[in-house]
Amino acid sequence: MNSTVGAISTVALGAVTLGAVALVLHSAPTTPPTLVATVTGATSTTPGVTKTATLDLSTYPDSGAITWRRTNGGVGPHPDWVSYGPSTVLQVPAHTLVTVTIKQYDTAETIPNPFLAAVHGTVGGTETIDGKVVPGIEPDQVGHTFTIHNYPSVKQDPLFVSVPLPGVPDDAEPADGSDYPTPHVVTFQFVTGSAGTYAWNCEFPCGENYAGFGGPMSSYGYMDGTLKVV
Amino acid sequence: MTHDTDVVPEESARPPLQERLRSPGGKLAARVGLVVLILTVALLAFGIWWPNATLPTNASDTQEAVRMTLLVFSIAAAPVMALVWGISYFSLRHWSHSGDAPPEDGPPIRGNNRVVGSWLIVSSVLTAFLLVWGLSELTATTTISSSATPEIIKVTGQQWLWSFSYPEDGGVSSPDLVLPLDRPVVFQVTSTDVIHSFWLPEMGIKIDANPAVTTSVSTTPNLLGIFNVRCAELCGLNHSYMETTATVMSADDFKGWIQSHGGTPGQHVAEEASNG
Repeated sequence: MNSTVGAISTVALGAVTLGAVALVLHSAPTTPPTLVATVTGATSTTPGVTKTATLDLSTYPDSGAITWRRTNGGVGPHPDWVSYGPSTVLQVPAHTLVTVTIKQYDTAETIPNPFLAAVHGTVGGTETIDGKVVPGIEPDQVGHTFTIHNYPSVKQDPLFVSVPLPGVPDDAEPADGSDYPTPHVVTFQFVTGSAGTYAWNCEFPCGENYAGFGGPMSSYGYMDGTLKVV
Repeated sequence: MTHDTDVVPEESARPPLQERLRSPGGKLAARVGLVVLILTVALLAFGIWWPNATLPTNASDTQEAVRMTLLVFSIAAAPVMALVWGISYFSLRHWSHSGDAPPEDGPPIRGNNRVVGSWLIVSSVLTAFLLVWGLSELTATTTISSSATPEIIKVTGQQWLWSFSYPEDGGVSSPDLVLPLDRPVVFQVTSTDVIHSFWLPEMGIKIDANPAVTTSVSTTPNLLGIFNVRCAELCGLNHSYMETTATVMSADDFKGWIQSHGGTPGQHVAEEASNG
């Protein structure tokens, strides 16, 4: 009798343990939600382009601001890691003129490759920083980049976009009612082709450990993500 | 197992070839020879078919040299491999033993100068041929034989992007590689962070991109088209996306591409375009 109770108890305890582990794993968000671009209208001014859409992003010096990471009122793992937000899985329509606005809250350092301090692949080859149109910024003023990678081994339309984001001053005070200073507002446009899936990431080594490529630069969902063209 | 005396074949006492072939040992040797011959033919066919079926398109003189070397080495290796496989097969089939006690070992064969001499000469000639061929091809693929002025291209790898600049054409830079047709190109390769590997599969080029070091490699693209550029060294999170295209275009188109990217074609580019 005692052995039967012991066996049943052991099995029950194992089942409860496994269930608890599964519940924790399931409830902990590890995949960013999809941020869908807002279609703002139709256009026929650019050949091959039928729609216009907007996409709003931000770069934060810490990932505590990213709401989808918060579980049970916490701030999610690695709240001190730099991160894009509100998500890093992006979705934009095909054959669309996409206007991207990025609020850049983080500071700057010198980017190792000056090639990425210049704008590439946008409409007009420029970006707008706080209302001023520029073809790039100085390498020592770059905080992050937003870089969509071409992916030629997959048969999809080529798409390469790289935009440098200027950093806020190191001693910038938090703005009123905010944990962060007044951001630089960077706007640029690019044109999507047919449907496809692209990888994008920050090309500034802004993480931890060797050469800044650890932590958020080596973990999905912080400084990199996916761009789905649908 | 030891023997008091080694067997030394007596050349003068050897029976005629026909008689030897009729003996059990002769028949076995003939069968081994036939199998080796069939295997050699099969391996030669495979060695000729396989590179054409699996290697990427030839888009440069380097890739042509790589493919020819693979073909020549396959042909040289085919009879050797067939001999090893043939003898292994017959050894396993005719001299295997499944009883409890191991059989007594046969007498060792020593002093057969013909066998030893043949083996030494064939091995030496074969390895010397491979050495000379390999060194000459290595020299040919690392030096520029053409008299044309090479196009210098600086290649920078970083996690997880390639970028290319053309210092002699006004410093034009691009995330895509663009190459002039039938003109030697020197790639000066480096990295800003970790070790990458600059790989142009269709051009037979693969060289490490090391931080703080510049490595050089040259080739001459000889086929118009769009080809692959990849990183061949596992380099982090988005290594699999670290790729771009290499477009080979005519001298005229190359000059136009330089100008359309805000550069000033170097003298050699302008001359090539006017000649082309």
